[in-house]
Amino acid sequence: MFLTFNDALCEILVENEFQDGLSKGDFQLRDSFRKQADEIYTKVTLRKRETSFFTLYRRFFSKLGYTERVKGILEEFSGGDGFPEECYFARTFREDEEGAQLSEDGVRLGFQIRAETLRDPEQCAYLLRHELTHILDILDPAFDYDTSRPLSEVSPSEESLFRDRYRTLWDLSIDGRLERKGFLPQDLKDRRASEFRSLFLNLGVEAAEQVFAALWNDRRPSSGELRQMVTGAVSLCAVLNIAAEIFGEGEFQPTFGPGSSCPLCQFPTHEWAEPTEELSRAVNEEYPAWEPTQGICSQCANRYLFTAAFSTNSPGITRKIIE
Amino acid sequence: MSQVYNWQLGRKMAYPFEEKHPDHQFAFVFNINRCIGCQTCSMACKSTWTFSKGQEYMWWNNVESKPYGGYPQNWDVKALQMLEKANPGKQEWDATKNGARRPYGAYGGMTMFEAASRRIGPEGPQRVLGYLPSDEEWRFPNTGEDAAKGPKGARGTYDKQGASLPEHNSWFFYLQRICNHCTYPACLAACPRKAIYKRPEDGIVLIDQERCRGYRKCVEACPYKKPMFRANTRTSEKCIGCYPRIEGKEELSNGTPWETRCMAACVGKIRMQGLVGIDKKTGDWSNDPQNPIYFLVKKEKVALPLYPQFGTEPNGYYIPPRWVPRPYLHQMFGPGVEEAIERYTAPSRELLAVMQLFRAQQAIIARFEIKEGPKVYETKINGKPWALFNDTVIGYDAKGNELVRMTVEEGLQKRPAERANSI
Ligand code: SF4
Ligand code: SF4
Ligand code: SF4
Ligand SMILES: [Zn+2]
Ligand SMILES: [Zn+2]
Repeated sequence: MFLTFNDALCEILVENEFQDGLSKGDFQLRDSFRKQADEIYTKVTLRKRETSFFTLYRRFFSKLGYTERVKGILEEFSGGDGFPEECYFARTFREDEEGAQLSEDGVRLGFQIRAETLRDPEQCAYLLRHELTHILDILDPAFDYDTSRPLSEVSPSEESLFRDRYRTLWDLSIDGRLERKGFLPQDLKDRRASEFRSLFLNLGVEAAEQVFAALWNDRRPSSGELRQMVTGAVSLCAVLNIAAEIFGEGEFQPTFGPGSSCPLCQFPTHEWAEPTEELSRAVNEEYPAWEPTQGICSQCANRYLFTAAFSTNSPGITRKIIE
Repeated sequence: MSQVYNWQLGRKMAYPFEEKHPDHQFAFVFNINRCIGCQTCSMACKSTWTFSKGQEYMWWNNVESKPYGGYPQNWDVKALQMLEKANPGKQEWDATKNGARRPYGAYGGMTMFEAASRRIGPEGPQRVLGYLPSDEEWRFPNTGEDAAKGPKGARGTYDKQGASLPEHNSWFFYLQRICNHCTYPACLAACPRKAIYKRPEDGIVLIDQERCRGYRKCVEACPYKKPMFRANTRTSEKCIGCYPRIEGKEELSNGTPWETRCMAACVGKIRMQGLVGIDKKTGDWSNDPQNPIYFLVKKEKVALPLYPQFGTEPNGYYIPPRWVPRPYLHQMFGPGVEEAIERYTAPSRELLAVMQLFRAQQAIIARFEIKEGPKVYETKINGKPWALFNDTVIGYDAKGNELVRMTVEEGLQKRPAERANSI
């Protein structure tokens, strides 16, 4: 397996190690770096200075054992057919952007990872194992991974909700597998459970528990099944053979609060709109899967009301808005 | 450490080097009240000095929305917190102790230099109390833009009640920032390579690119976070005060010293920059009330230093925003705030005239003169009578050449009949 790391990522990790050393009174590592760096300032042309520094940082990065650490985990997964030969680690600043992706031709694997994660052996190991399990699923013909069609035939905002569900349901099955191997960090199970709950707000408590247990403990869904499950609580239960228990409108108190994301536009909002019947009708015209219990931000509410007002299907709303 | 006199603090303070002063000092006044946050200044600097590879995140001039904005993020909150931690609850001023050499009274708290001895870092005590911002903190130069401060404890809301001066309930303002070319630079004090120097002729603070080894001690030490690290040259860089322009080397200026790029480009006409004479014995500004910068800072006291408590004696001065709650302004500009706002709200005849010189042209005004004109308007401000005179103000360069002539009342251009419909 051929490994490459983003230069800024190497640099920040090495610099952090210097700081760790200094705080323990150990100057040796930092000083040996400075000595070599000085040579670059004095002997290398300005034009080549940056690349010389990258090389120096990479050398320290490897010496400090980062490459070995990552390699060790990759090797747990890389025995099988079709596993990529090259792997690149890019730097991200956001936790929700961490993850792995396979190049289209399948020969390269790309990771996005934060410096903090790479620095923490446990967190790093979890992220890699989790993402590599995704990759193994994708490579498994039985999983039947298919990205050629969108998840929603209706609208981009529905697509985005379905994607969140797809990812979360798949994650349940992956983390369940990791737990059985003893690779799951503490608290993660609870976090996954609440992620799952927030995406199927109208699913009854008991049914929700059964769904969670099924995916966590014994069922690796195929891509096709995931596609069905994301469309709503009813089909979710149907695929898993669980008796559906669905809350209707008004029965379920939504848990969206200030600053959480609007399910339609995904922007965090502090202003949730009052879901009226007109609003539901207006939203459902473009977005049939949306239910008032999911909440809607006031910006989206305005946008759907306006669109509806100017479409011929909902006469009567225009006047109300103008008033 | 030696003891140096810091007139902004009204006392001596500890500094790693002996007291030494330039002939002149680069200084500037920003009128916060007028800034529209257009960032033309930021672009003027960037397009002149920091448009190259490795400088992508480098904004020597930046304009941030207070209270939430900051470049790097939360730079001032962090610095203030560090001071508090080193010397809890004691960052206070005694404004009653004022006098000629201490216009704002005496500062009883600790400066960044003094507090440093209490913070033992890995390499012993720091020379200046400071921290190195992470890459994340440099990533969003204009974060928090136009976000107003609302009622306490209620996130994401604003006060629905209208409010009038002197203080607004919901507020924000733009803070324009460049290097302050400090009298006692923290960057210079911290550099183990002695790569940073203050020019004896104009007090501009520069980093010698040949000596710098990228240790980033200046980035860590400057409380204003104005030195920035450049990844491809592996050196730190900072605002150079547009020194070629100050030296009169701008091609179009015919040898006349010109104000810096960020000043000259200012759309809101909020900026004025100049050079003040320094009394080499005392380090005070030489008495020169006809120099517009001296006039605004020392005579009218309408412009105040930014976070003087840091102790670097910054040479950037700000006319504080009138609508902002006073405790916030006190923390940012020291005890002179009330007086400055009062004087700006009901400006003296002279002040009003000098304000006309802001951005009337590009050259550095060394001296101004006022020719009195007729009274054109009378009113009451804060219950006191106030009159407007249509005086004429004339700006001269250091050699006594007239640069500009402005009247307090703006001239009215009447369009001739044959151009009535043209633009
Ligand atoms: S503002 Fe910072 S960088 Fe500029 S002179 Fe002062 S300490 Fe140095
Ligand atoms: S003085 Fe010159 S170098 Fe400094 S911020 Fe302004 S334009 Fe940039
Ligand atoms: S150009 Fe002037 S008005 Fe515009 S942001 Fe800069 S200081 Fe403010
Ligand atoms: Zn996942
Ligand atoms: Zn929305």
